[in-house]
Amino acid sequence: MNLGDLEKLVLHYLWNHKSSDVKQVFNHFEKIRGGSLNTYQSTLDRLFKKELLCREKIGHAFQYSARVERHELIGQLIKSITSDFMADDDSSLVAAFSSMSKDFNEAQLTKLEQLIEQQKLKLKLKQEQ
Amino acid sequence: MLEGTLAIWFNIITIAILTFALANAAVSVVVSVLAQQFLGLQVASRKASLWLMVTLPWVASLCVTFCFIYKYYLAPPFQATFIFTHWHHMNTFSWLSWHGLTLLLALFYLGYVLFKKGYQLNQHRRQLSLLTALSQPLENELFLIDAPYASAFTSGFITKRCFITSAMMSNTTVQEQAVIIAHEQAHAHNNDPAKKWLFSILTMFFMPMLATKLRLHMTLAMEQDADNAVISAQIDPTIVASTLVKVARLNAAQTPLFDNELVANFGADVLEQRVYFLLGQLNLKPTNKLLTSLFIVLTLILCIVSIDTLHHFIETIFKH
Repeated sequence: MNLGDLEKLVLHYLWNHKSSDVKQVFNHFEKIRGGSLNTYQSTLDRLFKKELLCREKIGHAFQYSARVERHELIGQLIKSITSDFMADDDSSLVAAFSSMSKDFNEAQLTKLEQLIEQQKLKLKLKQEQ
Repeated sequence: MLEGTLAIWFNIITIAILTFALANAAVSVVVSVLAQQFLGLQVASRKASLWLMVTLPWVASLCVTFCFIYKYYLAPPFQATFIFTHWHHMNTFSWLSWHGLTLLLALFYLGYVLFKKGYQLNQHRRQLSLLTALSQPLENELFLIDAPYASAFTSGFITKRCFITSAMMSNTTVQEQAVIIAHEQAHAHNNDPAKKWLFSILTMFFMPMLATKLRLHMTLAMEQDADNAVISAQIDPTIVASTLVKVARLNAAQTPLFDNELVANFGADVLEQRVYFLLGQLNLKPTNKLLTSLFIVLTLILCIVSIDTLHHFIETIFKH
């Protein structure tokens, strides 16, 4: 799913303003980057079709709001994209820096840190000799 | 009941499926018995062995099928030497027989795997482009995601993109960031996302427990290969190792720490193995080429010799 520049701007606007109709969106962006009311109407429609916005008809106009908060959406995307290679929901499309490292306990991590420190110390002693 | 050329081809496909099952069983036995031994192999050798394991059933299937096609269409010189390539009703094929059922089940499963993976790929592609759109490009195909979770990963088939989150950047030093980025760029350079994807498709034809084992071994090999690339860029292995443990701690802080079950334990071993590998504490050896070649040859012989026996054995229970 690609997002155009205007779509990104409108999405950020709705993340900051909770809920707006097309006129409010148009009034905000008209001064900054121009464009017609129709441009913003079609942008909101596209974002709605991409399931990033939800809308509710109040009077004659739709009130648009972001379906999920920014951090929540990014969190969902990261989780979904990097979901464990082991799980059936597949992260075989991803190569992560420490894909397996979350399944660890404190003692194991401490043991590894001690091991690394010992190795560093050994190298330091070797260099000094 | 089908007769003629179409029946021959359906029988040949059934032979291919049976051969695949036989070779798959042979590989499964080897993986079950020798899974831990893989850890003692050098990274490149291990990767090659794992690819061999997942592709051998397909190769065996093709080879045996070719023998049958060759025998059937170029019979005289072949028949004398390859007496094992026998299928006693090559000219007839009935859908209401175990052959028909085998063929239908295999085609159904193949269709299921391709559909499932195709669907996941499409979903992943959409999510990735949305995440790219919400990220900030830093340099050549490296993107910064504004997120409160420490994470770094690489994805994409043709255009490989590396992502790093703002939380990862703010919780690491410049040196550690260089390690993480070099590691991710190594994944991109090695085309690991696409290879992992292909490997996961091939493992779907094994029993789930074995498939999990194979994928874990491949993950570890790919991660070690990427770690190796960081070391080749003149970065001290102990710095790579300590960065790895630090990131593990950051990840652990975000998700509750827990003592693991079978898979998680192995997952823990992956990090442990990577650290031991970086500290030079593993004595890794290359694959024994003679044993590997012997295994390939024996699997092929097993398949070609057993196919007719298996056919007769099944027909003691089921009708044609």
